[in-house]
Amino acid sequence: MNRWRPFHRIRESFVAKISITLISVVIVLAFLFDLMLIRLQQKAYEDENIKHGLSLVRLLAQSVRIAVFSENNQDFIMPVNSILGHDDVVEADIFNNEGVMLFSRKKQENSLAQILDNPEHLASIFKNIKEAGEMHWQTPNSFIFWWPVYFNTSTSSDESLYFEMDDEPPARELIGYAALVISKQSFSEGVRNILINTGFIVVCFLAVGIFMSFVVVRRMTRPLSNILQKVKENTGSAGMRDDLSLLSETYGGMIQELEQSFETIKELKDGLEVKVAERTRELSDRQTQLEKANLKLSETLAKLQEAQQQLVQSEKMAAMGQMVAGVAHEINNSVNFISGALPSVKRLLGDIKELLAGYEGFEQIPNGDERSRKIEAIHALKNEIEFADIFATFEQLLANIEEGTTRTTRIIKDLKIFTRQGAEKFKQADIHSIIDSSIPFIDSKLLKGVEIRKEFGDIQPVNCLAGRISQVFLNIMQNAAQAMNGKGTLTIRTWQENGQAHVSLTDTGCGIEKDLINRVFDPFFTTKEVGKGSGLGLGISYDIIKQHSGRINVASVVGQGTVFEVILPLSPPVFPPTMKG
Amino acid sequence: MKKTLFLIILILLAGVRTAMAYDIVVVKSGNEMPMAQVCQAFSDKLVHLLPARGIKSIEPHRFREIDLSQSPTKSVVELQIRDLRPDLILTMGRNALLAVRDIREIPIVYLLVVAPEIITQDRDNITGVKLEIPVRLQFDELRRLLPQVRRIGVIYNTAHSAMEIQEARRDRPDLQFVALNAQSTREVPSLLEELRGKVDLIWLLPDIIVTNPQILESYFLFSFKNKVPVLAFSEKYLKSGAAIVVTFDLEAMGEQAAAMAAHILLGTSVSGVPPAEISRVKTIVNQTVARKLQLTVTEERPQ
Ligand SMILES: Nc1ncnc2c1ncn2[C@@H]1O[C@H](COP(=O)(O)OP(=O)(O)O)[C@@H](O)[C@H]1O
Ligand SMILES: [Mg+2]
Repeated sequence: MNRWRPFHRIRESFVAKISITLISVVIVLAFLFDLMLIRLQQKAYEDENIKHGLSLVRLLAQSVRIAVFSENNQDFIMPVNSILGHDDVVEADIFNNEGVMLFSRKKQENSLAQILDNPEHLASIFKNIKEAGEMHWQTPNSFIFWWPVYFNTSTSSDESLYFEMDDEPPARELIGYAALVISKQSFSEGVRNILINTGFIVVCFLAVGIFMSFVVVRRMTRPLSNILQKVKENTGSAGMRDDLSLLSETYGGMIQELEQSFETIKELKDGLEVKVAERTRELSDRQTQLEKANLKLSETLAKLQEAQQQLVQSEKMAAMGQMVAGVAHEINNSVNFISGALPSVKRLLGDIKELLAGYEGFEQIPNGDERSRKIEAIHALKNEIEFADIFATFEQLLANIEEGTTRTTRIIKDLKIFTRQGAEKFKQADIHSIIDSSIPFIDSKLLKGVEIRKEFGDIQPVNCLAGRISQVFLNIMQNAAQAMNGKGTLTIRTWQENGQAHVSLTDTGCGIEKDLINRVFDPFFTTKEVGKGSGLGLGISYDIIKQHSGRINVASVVGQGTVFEVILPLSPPVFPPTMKG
Repeated sequence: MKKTLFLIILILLAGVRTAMAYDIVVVKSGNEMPMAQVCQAFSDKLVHLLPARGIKSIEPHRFREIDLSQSPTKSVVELQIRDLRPDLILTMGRNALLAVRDIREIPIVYLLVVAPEIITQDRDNITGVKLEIPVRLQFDELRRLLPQVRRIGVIYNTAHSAMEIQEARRDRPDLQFVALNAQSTREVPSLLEELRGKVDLIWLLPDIIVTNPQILESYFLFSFKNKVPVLAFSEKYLKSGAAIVVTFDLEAMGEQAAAMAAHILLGTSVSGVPPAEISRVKTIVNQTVARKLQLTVTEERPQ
């Protein structure tokens, strides 16, 4: 089957069709041309040969004039021999006007002998020559030429012997006939050469012609082929169909489709006005509906905004709760310093009281045994209560109490910063102290195994709402701590660049999935279980940074960690209104 | 051309005013080159011999021409001439002489006529210069140019040219003439064959039988084949292949006739001026042919 595919191709490809047609035409033309050329050349060659033969026989007739006139055999030899010297001349014969052969010489046997055998034939030849002036014919292997021998017999006057008399018409008399037989040997060779040469030329022409037509057809049909290719691709027609029929089908189909299209267009045009009116009505209906919907939407939006407000409030409350928990813990810790010291202080105070009681009445006791017993008992008491260390211990306890109070005071101070947000104003603030002050509010349980590394650069004071910014950092650090789940490093790096303060916070936590990273700033987006995360932390942070005309970026690799970068202008161009609530 | 010539003559003779002017009618058989040349020589010489005189001197010797090729019939020519009543008739060519031979009252001088005696017979108003090369003159020239030649081959016809052979033998005993008689033109080639090896030169005769223009070729073929020169009698044969031509001098002939005419016009009776042979010949050697035949031509007389 596959073997026949190329043939199918050839039959189906219109290029091949055209090529084959053209090539056949070229071949047919070439052969016709060949035949014509051969005929023409042969004819010309034959004419040439006949002309040559005639001129030879005429020459013979001319040169034997006197010999014929004088019928002197001797005089024939030279002219006849010189004519026979020509390659193909095989026989020469001379007759007088009575038909008597005067001279004959042959190189080989040939047909003229037959003619000579037949006196009647000879007579008719002579008659013909007299009328036509010459005669020639061909036999299968030779040309035969005849020419009359004339002798000028001007009726010469005596004066003409002395002078050229040009007005005298030259009278001539037929005195004989000359015949020549010329072999066809070299003529046939010539004809063969013509055949070969012409054949060769035609073959060359054919080769070039076929090649050229092939090339030309290829060139000219390329656009059509391309169209066909496309048609085939489009129709997906099992490529085994005839190119031309495919083309005509496609074309026909296209015309039909066009006609249909035109009809449809006409129909459409007819129904268009009705439809336009209908559509206009429908549209105005829709518009009213839309207006209604719009109204509903704006209502919903207002509700939503309200809800958001509430949510924001609840987030605040949550944050506050967290913070309160933190604060409670801290205060508890610092109070522990005080309350822990208190029993010891009480015990020490009791010891001192006991000691002082021992000394009571000591001045009234005279020196004696009793006094010495008393002194002995005081010494024993002093040993018991390690009197030597008592003040050192006491001082230590006081220091603990002082530490507890200092810590508490600081916590309260910090809490004031964080809670004073509502009424906050833009102020020059040191970013580093903002960061430092937010760290204590992170859930301390989460920070147990976490190392906080600070790499602070030089940063000028930033004009900002310090409480809000601290809330941002707290949010980010809280998320980081949650992501690290009690184990890892949180690196806080700061630097100043182009009039902006940069803060990058890098954790070694779980990281954020690629698909989710764009959504972390969305309000309510959280991956955390209910109760642990509201999804509002980063959303609010985003709003705050925007409020400062700053930027906040995030980058993360799952399993390795997350970087948040906060960029704040040292002084925001315009102070935007402080956030409500 | 002719008019300018007459004009020149007129100017030349303007001051002479001596002789009477004569009316001369020239009858020509045609207007070929030799006619014109001879006629010119004649008129020039005549004017020279008889300078014009008297009333007609302005237009000396009126030459009126009648061309036979234009007025063909004999009676018309005769009528014309009788009308003109000329002092002399000059004819050129055989037909011209034949056309006027019945006029007896006007002297007739002929030129370029072969064997005129056949026409003139015993007439006493006709005289002229015969068109033939005297045998003696021909052989004088030959001796001068080719002194080594002894044996002369010649083909003749008893009826036409026996006289020449006799004359030659008589005048030139120092030369050996091998003369063969041809009964017809046809015999010439074979007779020529007979002459092979026997002669040093072929002498062409002005004989219509043996020197038939068509058979002429065989003489020259023979000449080339056997390296034997041909002595011919007219320039015409130079181009066919004659080695030497001893022929008449056209001018000399014209002048000779003019002298005869002058005598007649001045009063001498025609019978007192007998027909003459040509007095001067012209010899031409075909150098190309001579070289081919390896002839050593002694000298060529300056023309
Ligand atoms: N440092 C971080 N590492 C991993 N995930 C984080 C980090 N910070 C924020 N996220 C992700 O972003 C989400 C949104 O955070 P946030 O707005 O603070 O809401 P919440 O903490 O209440 O879930 C979190 O649920 C968490 O999935
Ligand atoms: Mg959070």
